[in-house]
Amino acid sequence: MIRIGLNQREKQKIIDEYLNNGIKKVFCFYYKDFPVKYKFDCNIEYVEYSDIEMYKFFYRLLEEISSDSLIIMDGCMRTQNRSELIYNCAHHYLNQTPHRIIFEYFPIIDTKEDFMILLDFDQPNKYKGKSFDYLFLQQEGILVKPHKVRMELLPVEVTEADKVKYEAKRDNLFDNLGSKDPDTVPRTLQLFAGDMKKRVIKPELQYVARNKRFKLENVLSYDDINKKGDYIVIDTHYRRLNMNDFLKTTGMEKIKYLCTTLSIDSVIISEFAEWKARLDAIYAQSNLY
Amino acid sequence: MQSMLNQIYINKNVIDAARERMTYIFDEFENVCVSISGGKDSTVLAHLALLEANKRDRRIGIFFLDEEVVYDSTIAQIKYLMSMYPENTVKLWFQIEFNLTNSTSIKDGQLKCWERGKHDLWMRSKEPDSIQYKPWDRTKETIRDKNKGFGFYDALDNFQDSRKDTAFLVGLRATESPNRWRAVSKNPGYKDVYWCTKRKNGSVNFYPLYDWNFHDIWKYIYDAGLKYSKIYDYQYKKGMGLQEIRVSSLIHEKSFKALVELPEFEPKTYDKLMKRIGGIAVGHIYGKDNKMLRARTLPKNLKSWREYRDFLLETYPDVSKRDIFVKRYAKYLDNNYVARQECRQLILNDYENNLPVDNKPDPREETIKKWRELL
Repeated sequence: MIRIGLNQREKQKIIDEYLNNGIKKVFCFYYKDFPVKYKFDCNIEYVEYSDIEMYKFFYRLLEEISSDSLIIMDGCMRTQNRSELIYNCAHHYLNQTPHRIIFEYFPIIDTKEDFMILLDFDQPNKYKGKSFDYLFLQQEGILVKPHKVRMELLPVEVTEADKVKYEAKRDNLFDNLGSKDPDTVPRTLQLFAGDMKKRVIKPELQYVARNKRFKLENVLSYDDINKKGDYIVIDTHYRRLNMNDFLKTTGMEKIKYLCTTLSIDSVIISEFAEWKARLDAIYAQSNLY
Repeated sequence: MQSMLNQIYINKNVIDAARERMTYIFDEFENVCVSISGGKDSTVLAHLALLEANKRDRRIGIFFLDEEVVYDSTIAQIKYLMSMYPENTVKLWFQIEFNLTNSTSIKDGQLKCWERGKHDLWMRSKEPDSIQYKPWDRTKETIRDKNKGFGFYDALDNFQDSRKDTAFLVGLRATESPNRWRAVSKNPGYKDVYWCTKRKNGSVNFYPLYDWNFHDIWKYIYDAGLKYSKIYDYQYKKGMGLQEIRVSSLIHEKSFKALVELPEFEPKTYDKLMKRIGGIAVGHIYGKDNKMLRARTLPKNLKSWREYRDFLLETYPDVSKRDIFVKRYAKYLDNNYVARQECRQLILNDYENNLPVDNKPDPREETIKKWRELL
C-alpha cells in the first residue's frame, strides 16, 4: 500500500493494523534526515537509505527478508532517477515479500513521473518501463492526505539603481559563463537579489536563506533547520527535493516569500506555481483521507 | 538510459527454464558449441551444457577466442571449464592472429594479438593443444571493417560460418545488454524460438540464459560449487559497485578502465602488458580520470569541446584513420555536446564507431537560451 502525507501517529496506526497479517519481522528503510521510531512488539530492523545498496546489508537482507516480513519504505524517494541502482536494490528486497507499506510526505519530488518510483516500490515489476498515468492512482491501494502548499508574497521594494546593478550582474554572468553549468546563473542571481532583501529583515521574525551570508541570528540556512516552525523565505533552495524536505521538517503549508520585482523572483514564483499545479493534479485524482 | 525491458515473473524458476532450453537444443541439434569468455555468465552456461552433454554421453565444443591480453585469472578459468568434463568436451581454444583496438595509446592504436615473429613479446606462450591457424577457407574469409582489418568479431564470424547445422550457445542476458537483446530477439531465429538468432549454413545462436538476473548467476555458481574468476573477488573486496564488477577485456574502448586496478589485482599481468603494448601506464593512471580518456572535463588551455576536437583531429598521428573521423564528423551537428563525444572517440581511437555519438542539439545551449529569455 502507498500512504502519502501522514504524520508519525497515523503511520504507527497503519503499521499496527498491518501486523495482524502474521508478520514476523519488520524492515524499515528510512532517510537519515528523517529518522523514525515505531513502537510494537514485533522484531524490527531500521536500515538507513544509503545502506540499501551496500553489500554488507544487501546479501544478508536478501537472505533474511521472507514472505512473512513487512517492508516499510519510509520517505525513500530521494532521487528522480527511477533506474537508480539504490532503487533496483530495494526492488530485490521488495520482491521477496507481499507485505509492503510505502510512506511519503509528498507524492512527487518535482514531476508526476516521480510517482512511478513509489509505484515501483509498491508493485516491483508491474509498472517497470511504464510512464505515469493518472489512472494508476486508482488502480492500487493508494491513500493521500494532501499538503496544500501555497506561497504568500511579501513585496520588497528595489530601487532603479538596484535594477541596474542586477542587470549588469546578469549580463556579466552570461558573458563569463564559459563551460560552467548554465543553471548557476539563476542560482547566483537569486543570491544577488536576496542581498537586496536584507533591509526588510526584522529582528523579531525567523528567516531562512540559502547560506549564512547575512550573519544574523534570526536568518538560518536550510541545513540548520531541524524542527517545526514558521520561517520567512529570503531565497528558496535551488534543489526541489531540499525545498520539499524543508516543508516537511517545518510543517509549513504557507511559504512566505520575500519578493522583489526582479526577473529572478518571477522565475521562482512561476516555477513554484508549476510544481504546485502538478502536485494538486495528483491530489485531485487520488483517493483522499 | 532507462531500460524498456519488462520482466514478468511466472511460475517457473530460471534454472528449470534454462535446463528445458538445453534439452530442446540438444534434441534439435547434433552439433552444439558453447562460447566462453571466462566470465560468470559463460561459466554457468558451459556448466549447464556440459551436464546435458554428460547425461546424453555426447561431446560438445567449448569455444574460447583468446585475445592474448587478458587476466591470468581468465586463463585459469578457461582451463577449469575445458577440463571439467573432458570426455564430453571438444576443446576449441583459438589462439590465432587478429587485431584489437588499443584505446590507451594514440601511437600504438592497434594490437595484433599472437602476432607472428613476436613470440618473445606475447603475454604468455600458446597452449600446446590450442588451434593456432585459421581452420577455414581463407579465400572465403569475411572482414567487417577493412579499416581495422581482421578483428575479434571477424574471427568469431568466420569460425561460426565454417560450421554447419550447429547450435552456438552464448551467455547473453537481457538485463546486461538490453539493446543487444532487443536486436537479437526481434524475430524467431529457429522455428518458433525467440531466444536465438539465425546464422548461415543452418546454424543458430542460442541464448539459454537470456532471462537470468545477476543474482541468479551467482546463486547457481554457489549452489553448484563452481569455481569463478578471482577478479570478481578482488573487485568485490575493493568495494566496486554491482555494475562495475565484470571480467572484461583490458584495452578496448569500453574496458580500458580495468587497467586502473590491474596492477593491484594481477601485478604480473600488468607487468607483461606494459612490455607488450604502449599506453598501458596511461590507462592505469587516467582510466577513471575525467580529464583524459573519459573526456568529461575540458583541458584548461582550450575554450570549448569544438576547439578540442579540432585540435585532436589536426594532431591525430594516424592519417588514414583521421580521414575516417573527418568524414564521419562532417555528417554530425557542430556543437559542444556532439564535439565532446567526438573528442572521446578520438582519444580512444574509436575509428570503428563503437561508442556512437548522440547527434542532437546541445542541451546546454538550450538551457542558456531559456535562462536568457526568462532572466
